[in-house]
Amino acid sequence: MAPPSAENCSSGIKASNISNLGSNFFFTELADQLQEDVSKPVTDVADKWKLLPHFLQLRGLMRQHIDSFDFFVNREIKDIVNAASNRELRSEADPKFWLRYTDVHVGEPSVDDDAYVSSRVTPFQCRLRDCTYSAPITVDVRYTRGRQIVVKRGVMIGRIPIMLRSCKCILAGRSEAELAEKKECPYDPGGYFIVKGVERVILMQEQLSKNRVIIEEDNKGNVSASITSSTHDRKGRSNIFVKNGTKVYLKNNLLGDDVPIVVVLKAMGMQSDQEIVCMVGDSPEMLDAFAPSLEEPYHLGICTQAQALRYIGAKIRNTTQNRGPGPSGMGFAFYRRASSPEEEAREVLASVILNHVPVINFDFRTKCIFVCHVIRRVLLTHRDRSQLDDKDYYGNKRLELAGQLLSLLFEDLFKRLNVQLKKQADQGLSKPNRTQSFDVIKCIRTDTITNGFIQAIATGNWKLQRFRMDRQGVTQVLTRLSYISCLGMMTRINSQFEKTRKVSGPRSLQPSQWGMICPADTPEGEACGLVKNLALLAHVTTDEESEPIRKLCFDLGIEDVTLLSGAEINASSNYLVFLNGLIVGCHSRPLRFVRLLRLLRRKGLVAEFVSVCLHEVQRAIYIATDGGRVCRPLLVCEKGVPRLTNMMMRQLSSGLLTLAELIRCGVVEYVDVNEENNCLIALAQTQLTVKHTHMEIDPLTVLGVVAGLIPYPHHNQSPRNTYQCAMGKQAMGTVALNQYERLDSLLYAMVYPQKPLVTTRTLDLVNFNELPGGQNAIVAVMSYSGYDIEDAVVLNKASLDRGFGRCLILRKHQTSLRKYANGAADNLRGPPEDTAAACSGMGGEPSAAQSNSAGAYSIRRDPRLRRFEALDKDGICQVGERLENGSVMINKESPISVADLNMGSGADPTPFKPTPLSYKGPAPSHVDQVLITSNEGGDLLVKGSADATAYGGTVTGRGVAARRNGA
Amino acid sequence: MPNVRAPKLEILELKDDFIKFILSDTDASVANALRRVMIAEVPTLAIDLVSFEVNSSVLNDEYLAHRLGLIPLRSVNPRYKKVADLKDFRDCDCDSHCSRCSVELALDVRYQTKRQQVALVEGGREGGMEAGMGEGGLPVNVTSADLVVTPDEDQQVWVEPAHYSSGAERDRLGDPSSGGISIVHLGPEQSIRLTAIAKKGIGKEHAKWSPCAVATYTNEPVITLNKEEHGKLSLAQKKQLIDCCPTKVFRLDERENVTVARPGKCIYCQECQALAKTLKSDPDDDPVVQVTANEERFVFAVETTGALTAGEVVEHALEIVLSKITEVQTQLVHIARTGVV
Repeated sequence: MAPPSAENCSSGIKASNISNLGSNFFFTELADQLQEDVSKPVTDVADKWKLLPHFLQLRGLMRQHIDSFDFFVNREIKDIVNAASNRELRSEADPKFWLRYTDVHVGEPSVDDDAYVSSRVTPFQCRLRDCTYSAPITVDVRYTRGRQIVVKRGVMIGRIPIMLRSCKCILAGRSEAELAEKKECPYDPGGYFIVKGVERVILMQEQLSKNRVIIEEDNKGNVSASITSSTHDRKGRSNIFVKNGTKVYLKNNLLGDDVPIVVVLKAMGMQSDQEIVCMVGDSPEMLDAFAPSLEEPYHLGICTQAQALRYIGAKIRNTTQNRGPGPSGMGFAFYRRASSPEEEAREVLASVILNHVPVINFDFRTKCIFVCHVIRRVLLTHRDRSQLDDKDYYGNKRLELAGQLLSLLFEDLFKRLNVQLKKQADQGLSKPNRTQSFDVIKCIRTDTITNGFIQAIATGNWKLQRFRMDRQGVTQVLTRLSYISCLGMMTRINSQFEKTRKVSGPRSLQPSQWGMICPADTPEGEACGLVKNLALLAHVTTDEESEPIRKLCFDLGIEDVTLLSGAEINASSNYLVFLNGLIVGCHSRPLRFVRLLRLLRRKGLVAEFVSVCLHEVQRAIYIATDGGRVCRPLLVCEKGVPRLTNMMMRQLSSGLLTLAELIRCGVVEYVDVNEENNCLIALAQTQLTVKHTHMEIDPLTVLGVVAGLIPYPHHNQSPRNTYQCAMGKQAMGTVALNQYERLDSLLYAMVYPQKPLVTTRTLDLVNFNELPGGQNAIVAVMSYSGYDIEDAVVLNKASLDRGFGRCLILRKHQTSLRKYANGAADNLRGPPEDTAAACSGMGGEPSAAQSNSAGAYSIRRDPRLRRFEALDKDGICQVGERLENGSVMINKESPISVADLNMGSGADPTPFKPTPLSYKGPAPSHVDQVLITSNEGGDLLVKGSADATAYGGTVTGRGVAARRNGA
Repeated sequence: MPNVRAPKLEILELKDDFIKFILSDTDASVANALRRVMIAEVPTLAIDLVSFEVNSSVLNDEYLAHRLGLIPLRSVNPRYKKVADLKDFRDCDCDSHCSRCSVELALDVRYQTKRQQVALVEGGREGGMEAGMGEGGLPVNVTSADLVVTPDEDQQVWVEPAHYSSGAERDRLGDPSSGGISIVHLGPEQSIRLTAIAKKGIGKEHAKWSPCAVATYTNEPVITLNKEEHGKLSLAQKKQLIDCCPTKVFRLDERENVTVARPGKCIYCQECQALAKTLKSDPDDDPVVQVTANEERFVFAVETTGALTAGEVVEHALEIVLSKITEVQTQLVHIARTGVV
């Protein structure tokens, strides 16, 4: 590599200062050198990886979660409230009444202290106080009150839990000092929620992509195209398949029977067989294959659209669930109630079957073209099974993130809120004589949304009425065993497949997962291969507007598909262009089109995450803007030379240039799995040829965060890396910088954690050096009989004495003092008086700090009172006191009766029963901290943590083998 | 009795905290006994019981107590009292501890006062550069220098924490007022107040009582050059032989002969022997170099923590070995006389 120009500059100036002789010559030479140096691409392979910290700085470690939440909170929530079906509320009781939502906002995180006061909170307070870190959702509304039209801003409709470090979180963009002030660990990645004091992560969910045609073999061996259509209103699955190897049928849950596909086409208005054949393909082979299907309607006596509609109308399942009770119902009616079977069939075809293809005013043209294209592909695949799609191919997968899951939930809850409001409005407005005009705003019950969110996140049960979705285990408690376990959890991807399935396909490592998903990090056993982890630089996209892209496509010379005939669409010179699974049109110069679109993206005129992919076998161009695609950054190369130059690297490191700018000017670009098929990616500079389009930033990015900690992973047997990924998370060390303040229910903290001697680059990137786990050990390996136990280590006692493997165990014990409906409340009571001690005149107050254990023993001699020794006069244990098995930590008493109202107010003392919180544990320990606070309900909360020191040998037995290859 | 030997001790190097000597004319059993006694059975003084009054530092009590325990303590006035003169606290008549079996130390540090002290010291040196930093929140380092030994009943302070293992180390690291062994850093508003009881003990019970940081021995190497074979070597081969040794044991003298210059540096790596095999012109030849271990001579290297000087450690260890043997002897005599086991 040429020396950096900065050095040249300084030496040049020095030289000219010393003597002017020949300085002119010197400078021209220097300029030459500079020019050459600056314009040169990064020639040294060792340099590229320096981009990595910039990526992590730009995106943060757990950016995918935060991005998706930000997207939901800023954009999607507005779309939901402004959607036609949600925007307006009307009442059946009064046609003049309406309520219109004009805007929606998510406010600042706060906690309701009681019904009237709410105050700002920090996440840390929420953790300690068992609160939910949430912010109010407010709407701007216009509605009628009596005859007036009222405009109101900032009406609260509920609270939404806020993701930490998202744009709505108070921690966003704070400096380390500000975070420290809020008692937050600066290395905490965020991306999780705090619900009732518990940190919970919404795991990424992997599923097959929506609105795409996937051609597969069904269990009878038939070729079948399965299309999962998903729009805001409805989700459904349709299959177009070859039955018994001859005829093509359509299958949908709503239709009781498989319907011949030509009947469907006829029902959609494509009555002419000629047109259908043209559209499907008129080559002789195609005709042969399609002929049986084409004859089908005539056997059924169907020629016209009306006949076809009647046929389909008769097949529609008459379930109330599908119909819904009409527009007045729960708001979940999928289509308008139709009067006749024909109309119903038309309605179903328009808005239920393949509902992702828009049908406006019953213009079925685009849907017909779509169906014909699917038929064509099914028939082609029927002849040539090699064209079957691979379900496990990662381009066919989408990751559902927190934002998307929350938006599904929010829409459901919002609809439920509107239904409730409507019911209230109906009731309120139907009263014949009202004293004051009905104000709908006062009827808003905020707990519908608040509790809905809290319930879902706290339990992990995602129940949506609209999509009949009932998923369990969507959220999990963030494991804080170590810093790495916390990071590892945030990159975890859960698969929708059932764990009992014995198929190997979805479990095995797919080549298309390269760079997107960590090849080593997966659990062993039943979830093997189903639970995955994102690679270090993988990014998950959010939804992007597709309309501008669509317009751009036409500008780039696409012919609108609705204007074309079947012959033109299927012409061998044309390539079909798909946008998010929908046919947009045809283009006769596909390579040029693809090149131009990519050029525009690199110029920053098209959003960076739009992917363009040319499929030569299917003769199609697929453009994707939808959310949930996994993509990764690559260096763009032209003519075998990367566009990244040394100058850029230097500017980056000196802060003159940011990575975002590099992306904007097309030096680095994000490429998704599908587009990778059109790329030739070099692993290293030395491999670059003219044909290469991209270069990897660094090979280490194929691994995830956890696998990145393994030194020299390529020298290991592959399952060893997988084992280490599972074990690395269990390593004891530092959880967070605020670990001793957090009061986790169980904390294993190492007394002397060490930075590893053998490090990896990932290690520095994820700040593992600041929050290390484990210790370096000097290990002598020798053969010796007698100690021949696998994975055993003989430890030196002196090193244990001196602090090797020493750890602290802190356990939280908590209780709450509840107030009951009858006015009674739990109480704290000091330790019972020892009569013997009182006689000896020692009943006085012992100094709180100096409670010497020897002194305490002499005060209380009654052995029955031994268990109260740790208590202070207020009935809460004192910091520093020794606890033994059975010792009372908090001497609580509860009222015996919580139902009888007289009890609380009577003159005689309310009878109480003791309900103490006692310490249980095999070994004695000491009180480390006591915290008295109140939760959202106003109940007093007492938390204490007790600690015990343990020697390494007994505790870390398993972790010893972990990083042994590093030595 | 055959093989009667009189073990000899030959000191090669002696510093406060380091001794190197050769024990000769004896067996590995004796050498190892000496080594193990030095590590585990020479009694020293170490903090064993800590009573916390205030601890608002970031480290918890257990953590601090452990760190305090590891601070080596030494006698500053051996004429008045030595560690050996202390009673074992288990044998002492007192209730829990007294001045006959223990030494009391106190640590009372407040951030504010310590900060000012540090500012004074640094200000004296650097012209008050940090005068304004007192309130700024820079943490201060609490070290063993802050430990105060409570005088005993004769108003004598005979123990001090060994801030440095030797005078040389102190001179190298500088000022003892700011030096010493780190205990904890204190931030603003933090303070520590505690009393600590130091007791006598041995390393077998806990490593904090071990006076040795390192105590090792190795057999003295015997490196023999075969004159005859050496004559057959070319100059290049000789240089090869010299260069193959990682610790540079061999040297080329004026007459271009390989000589064993520093046999003590040999680490038994066998590089030279491996090379010698390849240098043989005939497989039946003897190798040029042979390295063997002298099994009767043991080179000891002992480094102390500062609780005792290296000389004292060896001296005490020998006494303990002797007393053990005498103990066995008296027992044997007793059994021989009475016939009772």
